Amino acid sequence: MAREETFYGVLERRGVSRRDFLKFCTVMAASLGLSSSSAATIAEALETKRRLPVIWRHFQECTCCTESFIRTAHPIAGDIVLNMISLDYDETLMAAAGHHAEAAAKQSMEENRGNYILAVEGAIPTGDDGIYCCIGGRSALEMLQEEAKGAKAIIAWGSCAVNGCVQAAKPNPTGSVPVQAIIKDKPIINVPGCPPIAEVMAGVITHILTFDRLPDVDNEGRPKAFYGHRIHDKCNRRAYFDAGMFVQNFDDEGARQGWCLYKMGCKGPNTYNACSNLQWNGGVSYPIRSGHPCIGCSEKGFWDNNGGQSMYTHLSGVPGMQIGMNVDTIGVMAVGAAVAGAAAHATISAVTKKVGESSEPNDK
Amino acid sequence: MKLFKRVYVWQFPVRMYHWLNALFVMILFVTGIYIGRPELRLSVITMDATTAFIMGKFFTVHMLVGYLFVANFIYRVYWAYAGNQYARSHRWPWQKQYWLDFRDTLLHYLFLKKQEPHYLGHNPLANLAYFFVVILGSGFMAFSGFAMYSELHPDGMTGHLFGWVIQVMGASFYVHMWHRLGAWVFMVFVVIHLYMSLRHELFVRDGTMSSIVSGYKYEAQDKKG
Repeated sequence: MAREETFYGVLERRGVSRRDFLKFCTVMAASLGLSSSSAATIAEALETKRRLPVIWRHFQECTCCTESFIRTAHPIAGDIVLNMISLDYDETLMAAAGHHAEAAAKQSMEENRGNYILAVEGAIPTGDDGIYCCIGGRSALEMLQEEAKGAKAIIAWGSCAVNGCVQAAKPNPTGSVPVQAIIKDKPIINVPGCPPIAEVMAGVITHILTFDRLPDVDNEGRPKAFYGHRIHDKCNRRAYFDAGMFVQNFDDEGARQGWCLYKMGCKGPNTYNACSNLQWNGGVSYPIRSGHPCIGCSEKGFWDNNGGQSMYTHLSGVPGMQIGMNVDTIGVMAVGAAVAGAAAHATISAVTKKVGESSEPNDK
Repeated sequence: MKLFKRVYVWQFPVRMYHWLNALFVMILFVTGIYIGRPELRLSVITMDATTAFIMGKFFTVHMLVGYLFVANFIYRVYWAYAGNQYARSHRWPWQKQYWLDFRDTLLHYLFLKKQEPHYLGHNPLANLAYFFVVILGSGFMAFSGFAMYSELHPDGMTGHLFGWVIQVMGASFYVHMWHRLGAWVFMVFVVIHLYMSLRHELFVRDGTMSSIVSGYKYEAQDKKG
């Protein structure tokens, strides 16, 4: 019977007030970029619809996505993972263990074939037949392929599942790949971030439950509502960027005044995420606001982007070059080489011309 | 004694493209260098973020001149069809004859061949540089530039037209890197271009330098009766 329960039913039982419930619906409508009237649609869906069956798999990852989720300051967003969806399998959050747990996953898969959502947290190692991540004696690769078959859609939670994150960073010893590199025939919603914001995760599930379809995604498969803009474009320090006022050191006057962190290696201008508008921990703050440059954790290959340089350098290192060779260093060297080359060529030209002229018979 | 024939090589639109392009590239380079690495320092005392708009101005100029650069380029492509024979390359790197000519010119520049093959328009070595830097390079800078510009609003028209560039290069970060490397390639080109034209002017004495202002080059005629 519990399986048929609605989200609101669960919340009611847990003593969440009607007022808080509606507030949550409004927040979700706003963060999904919907009109205020759709809060009612969301509320209705959460009151009447059967909870989504979800199998939540943890592969090669650190569980920071789940941690982000369960530690959110927003009580209802935190409840979502436990209540709004009918979580039939999740290593971290379920009570069952061992054979019982695997049996629950199998049961859910059979009962809800074609209807369940497969949520994947973590990358999938493919090296040496995938032996680097095994659960219950089976490899992550094998499980993903099997469970993806009957899934309605796959949600790739976090940068690991979306682009491989640190496991797939060079030299990638386990041959780690994201979900989208393995599963090609199912809709995949990519929710990158290390971890993603809890409200973003809640928003994605709310959308699926309310509208019975997957949210609009951009060309990297990320929900447009949350990944449609760069952090830079909604940044609270943006005015300092436009003014040209930059922090040069973490202990200078600019840092104290809260100037732009661009020169401290901020990846906000390259990163699509909702940090600067939704913010973290229920809207308390986010890295840039707290004085630290964005490291671009939701971007593809963010560990390798600097060409092996520190995350605190803004200019990119050039791949294949030694550490410390950023674009400008290489550019200046190339121009210098061109000038030197031209000078050398000019000298040789002058000498050979002189030699040529003196040896040539006078044709005048 | 040599006789020189005056030949009208660079038509006005070609010269205008050249100088506008030179101007735009320099403006784009200077503003772009600042955008990627803002070195001007402002103090709290003299500036206030509510009134200062230094980076914003550099951006505005970079975008504006970027549009002009592209417009100028498109105009030049048109003139390649509409102009005289010197307004276009008559040989391309995918033709065999091109590489035969190229070898001769290269050998001369490497001091292995004394006689310089004579071309009134561009020689094959110059053609190669123009093909890769001016034609492909400008295209690359325009596409990567507009792709980054579209990041302001990825769902907009520019995003739909150029967003794929970011996909192709992997991530936004790489687009920035390649765009900046491209800018340095243009600077290397400028150095070599200036040296080569000056050398040609001094050694061949065909009016290379003045031709890009006047349009006329001088072709040596064999003494005839």
